[in-house]
Amino acid sequence: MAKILIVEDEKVLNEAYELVLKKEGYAVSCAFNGEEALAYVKKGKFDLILLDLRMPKIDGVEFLKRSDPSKNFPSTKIIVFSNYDDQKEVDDAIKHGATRYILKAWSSPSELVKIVRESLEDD
Amino acid sequence: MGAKVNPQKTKLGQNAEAEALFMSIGEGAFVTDSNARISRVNQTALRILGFSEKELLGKWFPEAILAEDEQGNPLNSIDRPMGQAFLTGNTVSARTYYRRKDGTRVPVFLTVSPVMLDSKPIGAIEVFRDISTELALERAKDEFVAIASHQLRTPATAVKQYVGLLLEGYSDPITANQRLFLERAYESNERQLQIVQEILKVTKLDLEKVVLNLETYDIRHIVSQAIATVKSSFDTNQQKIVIKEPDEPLMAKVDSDQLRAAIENLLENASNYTWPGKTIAVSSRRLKDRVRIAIKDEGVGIEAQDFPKLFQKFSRIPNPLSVEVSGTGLGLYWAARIIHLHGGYIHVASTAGRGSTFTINLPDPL
Repeated sequence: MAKILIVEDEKVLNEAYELVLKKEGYAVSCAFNGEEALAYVKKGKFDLILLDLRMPKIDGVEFLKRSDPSKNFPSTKIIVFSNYDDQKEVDDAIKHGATRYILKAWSSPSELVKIVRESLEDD
Repeated sequence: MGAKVNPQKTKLGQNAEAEALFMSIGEGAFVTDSNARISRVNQTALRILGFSEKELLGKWFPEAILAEDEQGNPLNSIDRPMGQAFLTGNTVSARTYYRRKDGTRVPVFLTVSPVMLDSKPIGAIEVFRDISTELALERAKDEFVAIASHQLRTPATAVKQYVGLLLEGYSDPITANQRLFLERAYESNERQLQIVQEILKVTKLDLEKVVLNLETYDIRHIVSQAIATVKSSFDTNQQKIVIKEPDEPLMAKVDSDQLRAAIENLLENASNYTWPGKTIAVSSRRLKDRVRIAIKDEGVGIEAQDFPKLFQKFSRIPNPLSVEVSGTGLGLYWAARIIHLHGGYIHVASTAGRGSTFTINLPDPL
């Protein structure tokens, strides 16, 4: 069973993603900011991280910089799932280890599942 | 019996009065002769631009006062409002940027009128004002709109997720009626997200956050990609599309994604404002100094009074073919700005009831 970490500060969105991904059979952990996400990746290994960018305490890009995925967990797929499409911010995230970027607003639950599946199969 | 008047003295007095009036105008003002040499300049103009009167009088206006477009490209004398005023004999108003004596830029709004005597231009008068404060306010407003729109996206995204959970079977089964109502809610929410997206796209442009990724492309490919994207709209409206293009590649230096989106925009408009069964013609070709892409429809056309509204933000032209008010009124504004960023422009010709032609003109070479 693939392990997924959701990093999303909006509680309603975090819960919706959790519900859908659990129902699809994934093992899901939920973090509400970059700080909590750092604690999760220190403790365990994930196959995929769904990462929001703008969050309190430690934001998405900062989480990537501090956790250094390409060095510490290179096989984990990291999908930036944000409602900000600032090119610089997205480029920054990709530079620091994110594998793809999706605008949250364009993904319904089933579309999210499709993206997650594709990313996990994409090796 | 009237008082005796010394005509010489009166003329002098009138001249002095005219001079005093000219010098006191609260906005910058220049007067030139028919060769565009500066014959008068007032105090406000000197203050805004940092020159002394001596440095400007007798100088050729386009050389003495350098003008640029928004991107900092120098404007040649013919393209400048004064050049246009001389050329056409009409009053021309425009926003432009002047270089001060110290090299800094100042945005100005100006109106220049040819001075006519016996139907011949004997010079021009230009009045301009520094619009730095207005631009700063506009920018603050754009930033506010960008922040507010981003804030609106989050709750709308949550609505999409939860309605999606119900519609896509992640919760208990729903009845047919419940499905219908939820689908309507979902569609309305999608429309809201689309509007937010459009607003953000436009504010990004207005805040100069869009940098074109210019590369040399075959315009014919970009046109066919755009047509492929909009094809479903033509099919739904049972419209024919006719393509006219040169046999050889039509290369130009453009941002292919942005240009394609601008063409898609014009194609969608053409489809929406054209009757079913009619034809939309898309042609592309190279002219002497430009590459031209024209989208010609046999649609409802544009009433004369609607022309000035066409490229304004949030303006929507009434569509007799649709009962619903669709679109955000931002598409044409956005498309025109993108083409302008390429150094080109969109030209519109239309006859109400007969159809419209929107023409994208791209400079070549850029």
